[in-house]
Amino acid sequence: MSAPTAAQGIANLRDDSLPPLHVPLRFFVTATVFLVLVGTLWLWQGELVFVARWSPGMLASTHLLTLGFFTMIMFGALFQVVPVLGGRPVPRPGLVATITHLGLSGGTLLLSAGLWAMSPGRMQFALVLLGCALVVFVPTVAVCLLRRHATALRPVRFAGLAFVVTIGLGVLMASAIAWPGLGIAFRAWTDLHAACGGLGWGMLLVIGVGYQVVPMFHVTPPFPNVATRWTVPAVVLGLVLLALPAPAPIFGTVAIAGFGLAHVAVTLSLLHRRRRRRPDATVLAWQCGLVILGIALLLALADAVLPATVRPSSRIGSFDLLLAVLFALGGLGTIVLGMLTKIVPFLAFLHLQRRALPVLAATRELPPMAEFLGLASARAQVVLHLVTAAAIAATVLHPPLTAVAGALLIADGALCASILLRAASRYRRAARAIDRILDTAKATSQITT
Amino acid sequence: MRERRIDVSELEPPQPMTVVLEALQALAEDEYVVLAHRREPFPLYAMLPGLGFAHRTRKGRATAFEVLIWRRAGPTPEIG
Repeated sequence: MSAPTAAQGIANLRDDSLPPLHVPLRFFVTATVFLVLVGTLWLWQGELVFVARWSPGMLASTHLLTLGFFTMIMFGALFQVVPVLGGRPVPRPGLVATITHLGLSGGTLLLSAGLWAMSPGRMQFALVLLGCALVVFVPTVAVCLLRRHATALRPVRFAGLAFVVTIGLGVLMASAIAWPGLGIAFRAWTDLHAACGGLGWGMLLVIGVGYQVVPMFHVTPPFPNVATRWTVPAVVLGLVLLALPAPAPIFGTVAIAGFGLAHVAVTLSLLHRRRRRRPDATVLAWQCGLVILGIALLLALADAVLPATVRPSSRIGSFDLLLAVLFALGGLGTIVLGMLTKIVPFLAFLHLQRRALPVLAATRELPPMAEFLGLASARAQVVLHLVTAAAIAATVLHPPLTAVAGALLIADGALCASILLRAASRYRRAARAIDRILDTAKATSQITT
Repeated sequence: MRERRIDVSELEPPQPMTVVLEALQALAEDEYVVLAHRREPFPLYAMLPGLGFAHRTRKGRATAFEVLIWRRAGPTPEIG
């Protein structure tokens, strides 16, 4: 019996390393819906949302964005990123994705509604739904991340640990509302919860994924060993210091801001040295997002070191809220959206390539990567998001601008959704064309044998 | 055995995968591929056994990694 040809091998290949495209795509599209939802909330409630950090509208908006947008995208991305970085593929990805997606979506909506109304009933249901999602997703992905020798996953593991701490604190605080009789003083934990979520989960994950995708997609030199070795542990140490009594949090902020700023500088330098210098929306997103992140970290550093000077002289009532907007929406949000515009076409192409390989002629149906999103659309997305983030920052300073920020956020989410759905539609058309060629080839070979 | 060297170290994804899969489909019986890359191609590793290929990765001379790929049914190249 002759050895199988490479093409036959590909046809017989059961590729478990990459889950189907619809697994991450459902998370990405749902995330954009949450952006639209927040924008709608702001249009409805107006400046009441921005009058205080603890306003019902702000509490609801914060969690719709952190869980419904950021975490939703990051969860979707992890299904694909973990095997590419050397981890094990997520087992039974369809089932894990379905439970996680439904639990996270429904749980986030109920959590936000519960925070809005301070409703114990809604919080209880939210905890159940979110609990189902996290109990399935977190251990499943944790096992995949613990593969030996996959050093590229080390930052992602730390980010995962920060996520678990964030959720633990979140559950504690949500329980205070769900079961008021427990007498939990939840406000004491809010700053640490926010820090672990934003700096630990958000920033560490972007740093860790960035260590791989920046050199991978933009053909830059690799990150220096000294950066990859020390940045993440320093940020983790900084987070631990934030949880300790004064004056430890000052040192924690200095560590996090210092190493964060160094990471910003190194990444910008690497992008400047990339081989291919053509215009690229993702590079624009990285550059702008990193600069804004740097500004937020500088402000946080100045505030920690000179609190009596920076905060009063800025005359900003909601200094913390402005920092959060710059850091999360302007910084991390821009980078995450930029990465989506690169990762989604890449994944679509990869899936189609594997589909087409049994018959070389079918590879003609592979559209260029740029056709999945369109360079102009990707660039427009990044620019619109930057304008939206600027509008939201302005709204913190001048709450009557809430309706403008809300309208822009709706447009931001809607544009992103349309771009992703167009990519999905292009993928399906190409897949059908490839399948037609494969069917013809199969029928032809059956006729001739 | 004859060496077929492919340098994908300056290509953006998914071009490296495209180039190496095309090369493997056309690989002669007495040839093996030396794939020079700036990173380890984990998705490719997962595909190679099903395609009937074996591989070994080593530190590259001019690039970070070199992946030697040969047909499992054929002779094993000398790995320096």
